Amino acid sequence: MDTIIPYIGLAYGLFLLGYWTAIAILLYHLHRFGLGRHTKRILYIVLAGSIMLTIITSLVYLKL
Amino acid sequence: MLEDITFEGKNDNETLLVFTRRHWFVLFGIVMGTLFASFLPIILIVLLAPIIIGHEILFMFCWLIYIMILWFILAYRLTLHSLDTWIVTNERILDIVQIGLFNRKISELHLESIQDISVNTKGLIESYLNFGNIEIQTGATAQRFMFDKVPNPLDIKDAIMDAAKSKEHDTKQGF
Repeated sequence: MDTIIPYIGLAYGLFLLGYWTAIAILLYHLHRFGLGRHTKRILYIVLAGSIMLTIITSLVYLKL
Repeated sequence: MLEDITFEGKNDNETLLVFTRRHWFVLFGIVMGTLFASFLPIILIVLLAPIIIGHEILFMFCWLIYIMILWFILAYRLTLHSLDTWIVTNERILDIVQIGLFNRKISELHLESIQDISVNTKGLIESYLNFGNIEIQTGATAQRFMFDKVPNPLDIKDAIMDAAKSKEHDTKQGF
């Protein structure tokens, strides 16, 4: 288990990079092309959910 | 509410009459599917219990990564749903469809080209929740304009018909 922990960290780091790049693209589209309040609400929900999930997952990762 | 909405290429004398997107029920299946999928690893707990015991934190970490991926898929679908819109103004109809993240199609139809409009509400759920398709047949070509699963299709159809009549009247008057 101890031997794979550094690799998990590296994989998790790369995953977070890809994940946040993809989320940023979604947020950009919602901000740039979205019309009306509904789109802004979706933007905030996506952003809040992604931040929350990243924090929870990172806290669990630190316990590994 | 309509006053708040503006879009690229809107003329100064253009008034927004209808702004709509697909009915919320279209998202219901996606949201339920995502919720169901996020709890699927519980089956793994039952099946792989001897392996998981002792590595509970690692299992939870993998589960959370899986939920993050599901969240992204849900966010992607929500984004496409939000960006697919139909706009009716006193001059034209705009059909804005986000096919993928980097594939956006905007079609425009002038009210003068409208020949025929039909509303199609199919099945129990669409009838009960009052949503359906609106098909607009244009005069010159065999091109059809489609409002896909929009709420209150009859009201939208009436608004388009009224706007088309008004436009025709204005054209005859020479405005």
